[in-house]
Amino acid sequence: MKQILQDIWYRESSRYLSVNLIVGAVAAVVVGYLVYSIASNLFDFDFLFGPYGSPDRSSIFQQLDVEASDARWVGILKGAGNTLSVVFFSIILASLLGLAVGVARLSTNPMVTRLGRVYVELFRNLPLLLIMFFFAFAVFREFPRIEDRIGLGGAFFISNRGLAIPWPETTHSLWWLWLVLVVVAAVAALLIRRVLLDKEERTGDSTHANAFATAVFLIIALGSYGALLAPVRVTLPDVTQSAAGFYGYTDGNLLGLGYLSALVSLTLYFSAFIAEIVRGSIQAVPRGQTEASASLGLSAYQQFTLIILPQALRTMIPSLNNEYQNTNKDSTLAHAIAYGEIVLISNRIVNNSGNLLQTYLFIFVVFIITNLVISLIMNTINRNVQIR
Amino acid sequence: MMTAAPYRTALSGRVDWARENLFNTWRNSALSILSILIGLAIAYLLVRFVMFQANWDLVAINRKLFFIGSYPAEETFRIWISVFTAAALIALTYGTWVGRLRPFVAIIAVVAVIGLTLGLGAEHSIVEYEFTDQIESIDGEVSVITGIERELVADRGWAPAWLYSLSLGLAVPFGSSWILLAALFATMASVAWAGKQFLTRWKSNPVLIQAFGAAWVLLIPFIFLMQSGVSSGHWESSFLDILVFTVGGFFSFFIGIGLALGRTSPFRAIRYSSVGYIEVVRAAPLLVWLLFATFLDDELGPVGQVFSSIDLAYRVMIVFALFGGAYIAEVVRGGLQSIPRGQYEAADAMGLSAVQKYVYIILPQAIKAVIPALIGRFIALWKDTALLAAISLVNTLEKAKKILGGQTDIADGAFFEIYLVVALIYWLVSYVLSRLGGAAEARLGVGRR
Repeated sequence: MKQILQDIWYRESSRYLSVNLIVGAVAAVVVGYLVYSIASNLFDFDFLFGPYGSPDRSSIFQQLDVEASDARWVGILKGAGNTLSVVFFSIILASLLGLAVGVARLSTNPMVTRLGRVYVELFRNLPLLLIMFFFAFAVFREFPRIEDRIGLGGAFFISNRGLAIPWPETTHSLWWLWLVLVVVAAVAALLIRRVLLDKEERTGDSTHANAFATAVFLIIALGSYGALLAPVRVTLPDVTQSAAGFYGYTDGNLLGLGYLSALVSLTLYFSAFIAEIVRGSIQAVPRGQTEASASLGLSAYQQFTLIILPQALRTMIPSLNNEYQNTNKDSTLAHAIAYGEIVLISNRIVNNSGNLLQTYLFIFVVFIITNLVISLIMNTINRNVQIR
Repeated sequence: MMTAAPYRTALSGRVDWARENLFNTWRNSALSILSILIGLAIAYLLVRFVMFQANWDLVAINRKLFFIGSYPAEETFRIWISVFTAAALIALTYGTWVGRLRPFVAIIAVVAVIGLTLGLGAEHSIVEYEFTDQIESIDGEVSVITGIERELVADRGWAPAWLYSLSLGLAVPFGSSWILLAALFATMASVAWAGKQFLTRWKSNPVLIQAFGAAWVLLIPFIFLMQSGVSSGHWESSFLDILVFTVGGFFSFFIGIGLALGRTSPFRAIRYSSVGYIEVVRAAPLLVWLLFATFLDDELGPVGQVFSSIDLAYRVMIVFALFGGAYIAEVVRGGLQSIPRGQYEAADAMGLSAVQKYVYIILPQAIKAVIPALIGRFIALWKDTALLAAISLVNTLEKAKKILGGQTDIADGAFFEIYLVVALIYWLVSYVLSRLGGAAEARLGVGRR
């Protein structure tokens, strides 16, 4: 017996074959067991068509509020939409804030550097959930009641119900036509700009490409806006008192406490990480680039936007990709502060129907898809900023 | 002819520095003034809140809840033994390997003196008294109600209230006596001293090094076993966070190394299984895995039944170990890829076995190369313990919520005090971890060859 084992182990080909066979068999048993136990429940998808049960109205889009009569699969989709609507804006805000803080950390002014450092060390070393709880249960609760709301220029109102902001409203059912025309206008403007710039490079004469493109865009967009009889208009929030004496917001849109806390905490937390990425990539650009652009006579602003930032983007984007995917995944924490994102909706469905595996499979699929999309977008940007 | 150098004092040196760095152009001056104003405003708000507005008695009173929650009072010796063991090992390591005792002892002495003097003659208590009240309903019926009212009574020593309450709340964690704390400081100082006196000269002794390694590896199982006498339902607050972090982190480290080796293994089946495991675990957020482990009943057949019969706290540790392992595997893989092929070939040429090759040659270098990223992963794991508040476990964050919700008579509206202290606890551990990482990096010469 020992002899046989030794023969197998010391002959290279038989060693590979046997180890692969044994480990592969074990892995196959584990995966098979999982698939079998999932599949024995999984072909039962009827629960998805049952009613969701109780309303969840914490979305910033009316269309994404989950109603009691909605089917459960509709609830899951709307939950995914709510996740996206907080992740999308957090990523944008965190990137802008992170860029500002990252640049501040490299300032020649030691006071600004220090302030940036305190910011990063503070938010990087705190748990995200704590920041969310802090805003949801301490900060926003301390805001005045709606009767004593704080108004900002008549367009924004802050109260302990959340932040009321101006919001676009559609006036007739053909509003999407205008949206299509705006996209067409943008594409047309970009094409015209490209053609004019090519001509400018060939002939050397200035063609005012940017001005032309802007004009084309504005003419199409505004002209169709008028032709379609103002399909979309922005309404300002307003506070009214009902006959029973209760106050409420009309028009505009109220960003609820759940959404607001999630947005603010995700932004603050991830901006600290993005700031470090920005700082690292700017430092990775060789000093000679700054010196060369200074000797060309570029201003400090031009040096940064035309020379340093484009090169820093090359090292920045793979790390940003990672951080954006983390933002996407960590948005699930918002379910602890009662924001109706996908995990909260799914947990309700699990509680009502008891179908844990199927429901969680959807969460899994949603995160795989959204992370893939983030990855695809970032990789496309990455390809465009690399040296060709 | 020589011109006399301008006369410089320490003050004028500072003024010159400020003029050159902060006020050299008008834009820089505006930036400086703005950031100084922002800094001053934050400092002012913070000091005003800490010293005058906040009600820190709440923190001092709830200090036991903050640190060990509902851990039975007669069992706290288990925590103290764990703390003493860990502190002694840390002090011994410090005394033996770092050896600069003076700053170490000085910090301990300062903390001990401040803590002990602050604690003299001070007492906190909640007085409960019954009250009766008459209430009149709408239709004129009068009823008498009785209840228990609680009031906070504080008799502080000489120190200002805020300083006293804060230091009591943070320095005497388990609601235990100052004597134990003093004993802890004395133990640390003397063990560090003994380590320096007796062990430093045998530092190159392989037996000593292996004994040290074994002690560190055995420390966490030991602490874990110490707690097993108490039902895991009593593991709460910071104690739970620290336990989940240390046990989860400990096992995730070894799981991560195993997966990283599996990912670079020459055997295809091992490689694919490791990759599959790592990618599947990393695809979903930790919270989803934690919720899954909480809700799982008999969905996954007998395996699910066995898993769900384990206490929730243990299940969470398992999830932390498995989840953290997948991320640490990616970090360690980076380290493995940075090892030149020559190292493997040299180890083979020396006639080392496969195990010896990895344990003595490859892994020490690979892990040394990725210490910063590894520390980052452990900090993330520590911060992730906050997520226990989102499932039905009572960690520091959840305890804060419970204190705010449950003690409405004395904790009314004290959101900022409670959350600031919780934030301080989480922040301090992360910050100390990142500093330790920096020190280890400097000491092991990462980035230097």
